[in-house]
Amino acid sequence: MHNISVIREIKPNKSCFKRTVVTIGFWALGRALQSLSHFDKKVIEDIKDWPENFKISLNVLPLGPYLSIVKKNGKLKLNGVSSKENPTEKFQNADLIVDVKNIDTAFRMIIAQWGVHDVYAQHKTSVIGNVVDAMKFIRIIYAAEDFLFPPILSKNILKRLRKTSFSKFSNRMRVYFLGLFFGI
Amino acid sequence: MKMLPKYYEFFNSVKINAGIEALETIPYELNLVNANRPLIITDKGIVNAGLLKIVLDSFADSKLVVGAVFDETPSDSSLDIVNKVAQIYKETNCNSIIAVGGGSVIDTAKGVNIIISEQTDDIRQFMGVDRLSKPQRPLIVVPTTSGTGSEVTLVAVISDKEKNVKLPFTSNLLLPKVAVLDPRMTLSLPQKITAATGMDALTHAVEAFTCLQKNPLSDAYALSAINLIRENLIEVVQNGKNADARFAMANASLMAGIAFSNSMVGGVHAIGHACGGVAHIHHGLAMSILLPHVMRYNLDVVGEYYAELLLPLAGEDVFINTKKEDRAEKSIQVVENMKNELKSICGMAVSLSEAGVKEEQLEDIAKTAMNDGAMSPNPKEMDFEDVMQILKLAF
Repeated sequence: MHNISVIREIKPNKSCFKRTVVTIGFWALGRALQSLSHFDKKVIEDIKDWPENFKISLNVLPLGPYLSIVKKNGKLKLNGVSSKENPTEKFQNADLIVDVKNIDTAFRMIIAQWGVHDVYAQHKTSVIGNVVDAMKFIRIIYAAEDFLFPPILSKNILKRLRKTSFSKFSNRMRVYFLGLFFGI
Repeated sequence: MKMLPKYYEFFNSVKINAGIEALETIPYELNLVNANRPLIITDKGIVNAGLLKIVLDSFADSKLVVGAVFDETPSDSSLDIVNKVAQIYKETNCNSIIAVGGGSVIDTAKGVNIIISEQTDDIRQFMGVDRLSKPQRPLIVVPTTSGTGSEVTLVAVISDKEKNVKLPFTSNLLLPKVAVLDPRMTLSLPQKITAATGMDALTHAVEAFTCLQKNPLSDAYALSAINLIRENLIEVVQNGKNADARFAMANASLMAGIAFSNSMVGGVHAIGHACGGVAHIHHGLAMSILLPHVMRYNLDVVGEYYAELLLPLAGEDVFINTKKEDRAEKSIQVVENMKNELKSICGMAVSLSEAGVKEEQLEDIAKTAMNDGAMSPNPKEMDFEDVMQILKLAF
């Protein structure tokens, strides 16, 4: 006679630490994008053709966190960050949706271990929407990462860093002190 | 030691029926899935070249009843056409699709399949990656060019003429059931098209071997494809009736298709798509002109990979007799020589100006290329100024 195993349902664990880090990272990314859309020429150029109220969602599958950004008055605005499992309506029905396939991937992105191109290379994102908009979004994410992370980290996650200059330094300070706290 | 990627994905479920009388296996394949009433999608060029007749004749003494033939596929597949063909499919009670043609015909067939299988009247809601959820109807693809590799790719691109945008659909479910490579189907391909589509296949293989999603399996397909292209492209352009060389090129195109379907293409395709969109030059021709220039641009990042490519590109003797540090540059020279040889054989253009691109179009091409999806997998960052520099060199 074989012993019969106890058959029971096993539910997945929750990685609260990673969810918290990713939620904070999404908030910082949203604020940085909002700030850059006020002064960075390349970001302004990339978002100029998006219509008013153009909405972008960055989602971690399957249960979040979620980041929503919207274009208002010609600038990007952080529309919200949520770590709830069931997102409210403002995180749904976006014009461009970028899904990260799991929380571990999002975590590695947020701590600057993997760049957007690494995640792409590993098939760990999917995009719903127009390719042209997706390419513009990738470029503005690169811009935000270039300003948010110090060069020692960003050189690992960007294919090319912007040239070091006084204006880059002052803009980085602007993102840190005005962008993150006040969104300007 | 060769580094493997930290993580990779590879998928290809297409059955390959290749060789003499491969067409004659189609009734058996459709019978296996109980789908004996196919809709054939093709174009006028295929009909006029007598290729459709060869396909229909191959069904003799089978239970296959062709429900309808649609032969008006344009060179650029569009939403209107896809909707029209889907309507024909429904009205004629078909239960499977056979695509006989090149890239546009195959993309149209994949688009029709989405509409039918997802039971939708708006294909746009399935645009993007992994948006399909229902198994597709059996799709059999018979390629008539040796270049696109669409018979084994999971992508379809359909134009939205109203909004002037190209809609990409990517899903494993889009992979055809069977790809049929029959030497009879490419024998009548004109010389210049043979050369351009061959260079398209070469570009697929080179970019698959160097772009960000490259992996050991896609590498194997890419290297085999380049070997076959080296051995057969010039011969098939010089002697189009050489059935063995034609068949080898069909295999090369298919293998390059499997490679790039899993590792993506990069800068050559991004700029080439833009050349097609802005200046309407043939896709394969754009690939041929741009390939060495983009290789040279990427050289400092993926030189190691280009050095490896010298063996399949030039053969053993050249590889052995070239110093290790010179192999990457030599690979680029081999591609340039191939391009020039094709020009001397069939007059294929080697520069954008020869291909009819106007200098004032270069800026528009560069702007369009920056927003092409193929820009992302390129191993080296490319901005507007970089693309302009490449275009000026290729002009």
